[in-house]
Amino acid sequence: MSASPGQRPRAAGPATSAETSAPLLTIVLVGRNDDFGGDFNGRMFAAAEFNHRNLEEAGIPHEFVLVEWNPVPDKPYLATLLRQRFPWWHQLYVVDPRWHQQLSVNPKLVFMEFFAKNVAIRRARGRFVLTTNTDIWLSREVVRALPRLRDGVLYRAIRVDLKREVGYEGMTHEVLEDPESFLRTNVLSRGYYSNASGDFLLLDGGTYRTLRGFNEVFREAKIHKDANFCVHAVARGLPVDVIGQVYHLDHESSWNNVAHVYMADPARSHVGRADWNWEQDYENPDSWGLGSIPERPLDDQILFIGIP
Amino acid sequence: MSGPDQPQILVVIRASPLRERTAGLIESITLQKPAGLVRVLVLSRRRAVAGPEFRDEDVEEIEAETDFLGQVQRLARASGCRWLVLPSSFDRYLPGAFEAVVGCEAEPGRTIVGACQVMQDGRPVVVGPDPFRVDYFALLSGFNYIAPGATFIDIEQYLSEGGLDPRYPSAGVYEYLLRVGAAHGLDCCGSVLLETQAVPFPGIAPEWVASYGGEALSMILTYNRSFITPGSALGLGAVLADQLAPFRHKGFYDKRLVSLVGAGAGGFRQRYLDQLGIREPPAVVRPMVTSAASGAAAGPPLMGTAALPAALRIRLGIKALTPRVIWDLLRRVRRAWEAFGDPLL
Repeated sequence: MSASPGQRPRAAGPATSAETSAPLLTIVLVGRNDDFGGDFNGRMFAAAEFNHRNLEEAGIPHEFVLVEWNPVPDKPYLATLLRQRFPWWHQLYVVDPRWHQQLSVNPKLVFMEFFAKNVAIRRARGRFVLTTNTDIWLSREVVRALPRLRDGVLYRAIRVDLKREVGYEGMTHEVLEDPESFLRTNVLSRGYYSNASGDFLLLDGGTYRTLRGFNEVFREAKIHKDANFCVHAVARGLPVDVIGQVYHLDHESSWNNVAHVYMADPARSHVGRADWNWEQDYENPDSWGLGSIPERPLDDQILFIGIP
Repeated sequence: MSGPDQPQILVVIRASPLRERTAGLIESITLQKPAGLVRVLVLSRRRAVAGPEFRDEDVEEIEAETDFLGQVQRLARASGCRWLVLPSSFDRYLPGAFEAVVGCEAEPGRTIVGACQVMQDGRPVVVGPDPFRVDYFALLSGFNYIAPGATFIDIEQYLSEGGLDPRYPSAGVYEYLLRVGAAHGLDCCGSVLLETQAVPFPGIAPEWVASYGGEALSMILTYNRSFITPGSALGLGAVLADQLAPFRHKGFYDKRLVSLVGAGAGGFRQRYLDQLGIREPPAVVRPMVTSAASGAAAGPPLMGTAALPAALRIRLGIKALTPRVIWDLLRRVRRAWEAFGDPLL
């Protein structure tokens, strides 16, 4: 549900049952037009097109939400490119870069992924909210499981990394599932079902908002915020279920490829220091996800979250 | 049954997600002479975004169905060819391979198998008994030296047998060899037909060996009434030695198991191949492949330290430079330390 020109600013709030047209699923993606990892936009477009097509074929009512955080100066918004390419894209937000300047305490951290995801969680309309990443391909098992989701359960999927040479052109489930495609499996960790959890955390929107999303208290790093959310959910008594796999094309800057470099020299890390205590629970303030900040239409389809 | 001008051999290729692998295989087939002996069907698993995935006029590209074995059966029935072969994306046919198969002039109903070669220390070696023959009891004990790509299945017999067993999606051709081999339905071709990989199973791509090894064990258990045979045990041991590397999640694999099978890394694979039989080829023949994919069949070396994990290579290097007495002392210290931390190890 995008704003039309001249729409009055509105503040984000939890989706209500009164919104009868609410989809079953909101897919939350975040990013910016910075070519992160190489061919960022190409990988994103291919995965989004694939997931959208398969959800449509499976009859799953859904919406895609993009939050663009700290947009790159002098480059078109990623939101604009998405709107041009995918007229069906449902919600597009651009967050004023001054929010990043105001909230960031680590100059190496140019993209606060989980703050951006919180912005989307607060604005999601779907009964269930999947926070994932732009280059994640949903498996058949995951799509099949969507109609039988239950409230109050945190759903996880195992991420399988694919060799880069596989490419994304003409992608099908058969290519994703072929062992010749596989590079590595990111097995789930005991206790919190973490490891690559930022690529698949699925929960009903009400519970997501009751938990107040990802940690906004600790701001030095973005790495392990996803595992920290698993800790947060388990600490509040949520059961965790595993519903299949998701696939991810390996790329430059993927944590699996740079962890050894950044662990040895945390000052260089674009995701912040990795040795913080992510097993500690947190409590976000009321303002989490820029929930009280009004939006204004940037153009006919994109909403801008500025500084009041 | 095929007519005089009709292709005799139906090659069905399940396209690899890695295009270069499939391209190299196709090239090694289409460069064969005389032309017209084979019909090549490529089952593409990609959506046709901009035309066919492989732009080769000598192959027919069709969309893969979810039921691979069922699709193969339908294609074989409709093909009019005499034989069916299902190569791996790593296989590269040697010059004259298909001509040699057709030249065997086998009786109707008989499947033809041939030898394959793999690279060892930069040189091709032929796998299997010398002289090459069908050794049913080697197959029955889990030592399968016949690559699927070197198995030319008589289509009429295959259809009357009900096709490949869907319980073994990775090792179906092996099961078929056991089924028809028991009834003496296999003939041998004297030529070496293809170059492939063996890590450790000849003609099975490295990514498939875990599922193949598991299926082969299950199949051999069925054929031998729940008895673990030497070949299936050694084959699976080689897979474990190759693939159970220390994992970044501490405690993921049992430490003792990793320690035991890891010590055999490389060695088990070589041992399995030795048991299959390895010999110098009568003449060195390599596939006619010009593309960048020519090296795909070579795969990792079977011997030498290049295939070993980096940490093990460093360890072997240090060992070579260290006097024996000091090395043994260091090992004892390490064992004492490990026993202190984990008395059961």
